[in-house]
Amino acid sequence: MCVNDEGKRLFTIDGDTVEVERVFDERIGAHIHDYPDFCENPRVTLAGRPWVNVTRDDCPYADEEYGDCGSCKYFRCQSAGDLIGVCDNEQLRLQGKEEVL
Amino acid sequence: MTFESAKKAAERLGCTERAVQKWAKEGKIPYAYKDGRDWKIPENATVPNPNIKAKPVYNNEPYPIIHTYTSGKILDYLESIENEDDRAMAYCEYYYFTGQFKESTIIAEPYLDSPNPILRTSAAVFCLFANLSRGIMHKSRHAGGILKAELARCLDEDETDFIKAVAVFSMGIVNMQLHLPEQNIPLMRDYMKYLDGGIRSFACYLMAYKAYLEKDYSRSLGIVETALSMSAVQYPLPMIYLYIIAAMDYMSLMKVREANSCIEKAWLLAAPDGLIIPFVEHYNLLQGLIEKHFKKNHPEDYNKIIAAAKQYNLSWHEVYNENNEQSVASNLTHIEFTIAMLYSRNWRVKEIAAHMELSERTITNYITVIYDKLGINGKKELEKFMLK
Repeated sequence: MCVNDEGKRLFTIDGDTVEVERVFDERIGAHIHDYPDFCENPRVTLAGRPWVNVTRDDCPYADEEYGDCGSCKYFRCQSAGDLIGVCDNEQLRLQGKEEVL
Repeated sequence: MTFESAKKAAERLGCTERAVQKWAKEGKIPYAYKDGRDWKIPENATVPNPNIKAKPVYNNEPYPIIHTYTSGKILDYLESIENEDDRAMAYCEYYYFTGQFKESTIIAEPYLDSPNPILRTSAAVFCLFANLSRGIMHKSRHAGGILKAELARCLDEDETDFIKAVAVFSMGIVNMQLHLPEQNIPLMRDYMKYLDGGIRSFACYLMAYKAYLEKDYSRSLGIVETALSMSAVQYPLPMIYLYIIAAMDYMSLMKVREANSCIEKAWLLAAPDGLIIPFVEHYNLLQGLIEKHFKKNHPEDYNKIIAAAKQYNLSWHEVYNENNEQSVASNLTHIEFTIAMLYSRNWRVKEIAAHMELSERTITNYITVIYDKLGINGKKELEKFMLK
């Protein structure tokens, strides 16, 4: 994850970059990073890997003990502690895409 | 009554320090007691008569409010207590359980030097918790030291089983509430038989709490059910605590309806006398039930509970993190901690949202804030920062 001058967070995996803005959340009463919801708006990297939020907890392939993407062995992120990343499970990979080195 | 060391007493009495220690140990010096490894001798003690063997007998009622009172008539009960010391200790309890911490410590502190082990122990418990709730940690720790010394003294010496049971019970309260590691403290169940009335019911709460911390929620619920059905007499304060622990168990079993019912029962008993502290002490482990039950229906009480919980939790975290290898997150707000607790216990986002009456998006946003604060990105790591 990189942070630009405007406080935006940039996440780049497999050549695809996701930009996350900092917004004020009235309910929480603080500025937070407004992560996209990849369940509502799916997105894949150039290698066909689906982006996922660490908080997703309804994946049938997730670790049974915890059930969230953040604790899953298939979760891969740019830097440790990132709150979005991609899923390396081959069964969820978009077919026809090549691995990007 | 003022005390001096065995050495000083020996100088005053013209004998050896060893002799003074021996007399004190044999109970030949009335009111002498052991503070850690040292004896405290009354300054007016004299060389004992060789024929004196009897120890003073203490007939005080430990923890009068925990023991018994009629719900809604607590002040009448306080005034009806004839023994002056017992009445003072009952007021000390009352002030604590209603969140009047300063008043509680003003009464309790003089009793920390009492030669009477029942009064000394009770006073130490309330000094510990009332000072902790005020953030006065050195006084809280001092009271904890007195309790430990008292327990060690009781177990080392030829004390009555009742006095030993009171000391074990008192240390049990501290250990359970603060989640301290067990330090060779005798098992509560071995001393239950020496306690009676509400104290025994409260001891059941301590045992249920222990089972809860061991994640044995069904056993914990079983203890609560047994304790509640064991007696025809109502012991309001222990019952409040028992219902609260049952609510915690039900939340851990994801039985929200049952948990709500227990909280309602607890509040029905607590509200008439303004006893908010049992809810404060368990705020984090009630996992959102306080918000759900109090915020809309009892906003004034809710604000009192939140205000008290803020300082209590701050001090609680300090003590917990000092005494345990694993640290509990202390930089989260109340609502963040509640959500983090639920999420770490495998509640799903939509279940937390339904329970807390918030949108799933808001819960997700809270979780990202929590993760940012803790520098983590998964439940597996979150678990390490949460309470058992």
